[in-house]
Amino acid sequence: MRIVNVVRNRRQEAGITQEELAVQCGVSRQTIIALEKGGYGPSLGLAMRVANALAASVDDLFWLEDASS
Amino acid sequence: MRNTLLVMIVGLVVFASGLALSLRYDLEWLRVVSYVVGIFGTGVGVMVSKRQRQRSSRSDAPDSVEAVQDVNSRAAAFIDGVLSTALALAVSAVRPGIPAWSVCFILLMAMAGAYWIRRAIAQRGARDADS
Repeated sequence: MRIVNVVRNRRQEAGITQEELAVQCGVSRQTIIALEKGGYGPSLGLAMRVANALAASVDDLFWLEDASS
Repeated sequence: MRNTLLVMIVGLVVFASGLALSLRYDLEWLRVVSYVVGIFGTGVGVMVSKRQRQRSSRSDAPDSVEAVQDVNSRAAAFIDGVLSTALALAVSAVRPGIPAWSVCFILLMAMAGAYWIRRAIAQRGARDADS
């Protein structure tokens, strides 16, 4: 099982840059890049801050996907 | 990164100049000061420069990918350090003629190298993921 997300799409819809989202979430821009690429599984706190910044719920942004699918 | 390189170059220049002057005028105290200021000062300078860079990019935040990579690399480098120390101990026991300072120096370099290699691999892994 791996964590997949639609942070990039939702961020672009909201019209904010990776740097702006990073500042709002209190992390580096590199973290947002890694998160959007799927290379980094965020902590619960970070997932909630990202969801808050994008006015969405954690469930809307992140979900588990079977690695074999 | 530029500041770190600058600190390292300044440290090297101070170290080399102090060492050269101490040899030229046969000043033992200057040799010791050169070692302390050159090596210890450079280490502290690099650390301060790194902290400033981390603070400005927020990469020191606990949830940042860099902080997670740092912790994972430290944990892996700890294992490498234990294995290297065991190896150094065995080498020292088998070859007692090898100076202790050179064994310690190689050990220090091996541990620092292990950390940076693991960190670089983790960074590359995160950068290349799904791209």
